[in-house]
Amino acid sequence: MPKRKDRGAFVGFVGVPAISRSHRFPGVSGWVVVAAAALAASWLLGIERPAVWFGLAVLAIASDAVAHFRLAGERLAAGPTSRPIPLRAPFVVLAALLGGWVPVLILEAALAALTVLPMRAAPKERMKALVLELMPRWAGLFLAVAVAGWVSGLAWAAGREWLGPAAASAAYVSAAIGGCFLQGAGSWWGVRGVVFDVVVLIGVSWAAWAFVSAGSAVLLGLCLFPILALEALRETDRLFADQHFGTITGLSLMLQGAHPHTHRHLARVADMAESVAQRLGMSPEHARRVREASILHDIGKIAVDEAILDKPGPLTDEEYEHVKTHAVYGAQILEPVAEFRELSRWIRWHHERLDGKGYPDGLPADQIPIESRIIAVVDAFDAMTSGLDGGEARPYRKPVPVREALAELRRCAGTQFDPRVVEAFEAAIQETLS
Amino acid sequence: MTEVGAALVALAGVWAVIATTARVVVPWQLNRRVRESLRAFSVASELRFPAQRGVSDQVVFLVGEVGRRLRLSPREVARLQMAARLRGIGLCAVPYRLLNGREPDSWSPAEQAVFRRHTEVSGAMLELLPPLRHLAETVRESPWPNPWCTKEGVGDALGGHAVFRASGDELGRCVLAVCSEWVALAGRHGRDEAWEALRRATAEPTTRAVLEALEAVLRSSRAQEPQARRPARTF
Repeated sequence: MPKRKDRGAFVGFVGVPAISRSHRFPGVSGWVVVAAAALAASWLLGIERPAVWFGLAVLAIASDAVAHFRLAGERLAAGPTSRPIPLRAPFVVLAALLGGWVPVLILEAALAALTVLPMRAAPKERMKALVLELMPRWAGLFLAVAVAGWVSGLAWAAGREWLGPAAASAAYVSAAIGGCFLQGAGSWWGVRGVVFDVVVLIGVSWAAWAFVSAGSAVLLGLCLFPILALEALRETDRLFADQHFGTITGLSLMLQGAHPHTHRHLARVADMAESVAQRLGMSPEHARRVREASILHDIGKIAVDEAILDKPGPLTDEEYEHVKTHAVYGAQILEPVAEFRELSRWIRWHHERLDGKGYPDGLPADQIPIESRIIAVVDAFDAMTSGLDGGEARPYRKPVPVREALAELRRCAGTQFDPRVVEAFEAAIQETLS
Repeated sequence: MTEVGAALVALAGVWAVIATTARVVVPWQLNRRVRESLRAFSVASELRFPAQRGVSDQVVFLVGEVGRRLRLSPREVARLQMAARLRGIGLCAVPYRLLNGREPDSWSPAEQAVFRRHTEVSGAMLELLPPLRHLAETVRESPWPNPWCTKEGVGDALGGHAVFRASGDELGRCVLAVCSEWVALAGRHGRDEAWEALRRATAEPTTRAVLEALEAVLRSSRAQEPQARRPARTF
């Protein structure tokens, strides 16, 4: 059996990246965690060859660039809900210490210019089209340079300095750009991206076997191939994300079909609710859930007569009761979807009041979730002020100036609205206005 | 066992876990989520128009049974069932008061045209949803159970039997069309009269084959009588 410290290293190699697959760290590339674990394991195993460290750092940087590329695309598609965490900095420093600052800086600039900046500047679809156009022309070259670079980098690790850091640097750029092209381009090309990784890692293992030792090769095989498979499962993440956003979009489109003018209201409420949630100390993931709940908070209005919602005059009691059903209907619509079950509770209670006079259940203050309270405040403010920006005002009410709307929220804090949420909302709106 | 042997066994174990995850767990989870989403779309549609409640469930059931009887592939049957579930999402663009509290017989030609457009709306909505985009065309080109279907014949209000002729080219769409029309007619006029109306409306061999399969399904114990329409709300 492997020695105790080897088993520890194995757990480090396989376990840490597996944990990183969870969605708690959306911006962290699994490969960065791999590299961190590898560095720790190298220390545990007594591998002190700086070049091995350098190779791992290069792997981390290249793969993190791929993550940057993917997340930039996702951000364009899904709004500013996921942000890559710049974890590559320590690896850049390490590479610079081992390989020299000048080449690293040049390579960083080239990488930014070639991948990240155009991705941020261009719409996702156009970028995808560009990638698909460039792919067949350049992928082979990138692949060849990457494999050659990796092999030569490992040769350098084995003491054959005639190949040196220049080849490893070429591999760095090639792997990064080639990986970006291959993995960022969509489902079919994503598969090729995985193939690309396989080829690179076979090269690494072979080189480790040939130039370092059989033990290193087994270690690499043990650690990197399962992790590679986990990376392959990334494609399923994309499918899950597509499905998740597809449900939200589909329901939003249905509501838009029934009540076309609610669309901008939902977008404004979602933006502001996420901001308020973050100000209240919620994690980015939690704030994103609040954002999703805000997008869907009026989904029950699909089942409400639009002629009543748009009625210019006051509603009769019967009509008001009909409008009030939208909170319950919203929860009913979302109830079948397991991942929205928590949101359905928030949506059901977004018209509850702290004094217990809200609807549909008349809950006491301590039973109203904070998420519902956030939606209530933001929804009320937007209802009061909609139409101020030249958009469509509510047919039954003239828009109220922002100052007056804020005063109204303050007046109702403690009875209708949560004072903490009102305070956070005021801060958020002041920042937006300034 | 050598260290390398132990390591290889460990590697095989890890690969087994990963393969199981990729081949079994992930597809199962994805399918479950898709089913849940479709259910949410149906609930939204049915809450807006309670008279349509249960229609999708019946069509989905019949499409599955008839499709299997006609030896469509499981993949095609699943696709048709999804399409059957999604055909109603465009109904949300139909004015609330048109379907709630008013009899289809009293609709003006303009109102009929508004209603008729909803499969097109469903298709357009699905075009905007990447995971469901592949169903857009099927949904757009398939008819909805028409509330104005009469005993005299299916789709008369739509101008003859153009719908069935168009669907006859493709067995899957034909299954979807026949099952949905049967549910609509049976819910409105009763089973026997629905059957007669369907027979009168089908002349093509493909459609006739589908009809025979439907008849066999309906004779089996698993088929349920179409649910009686619930009274419409008055708003």
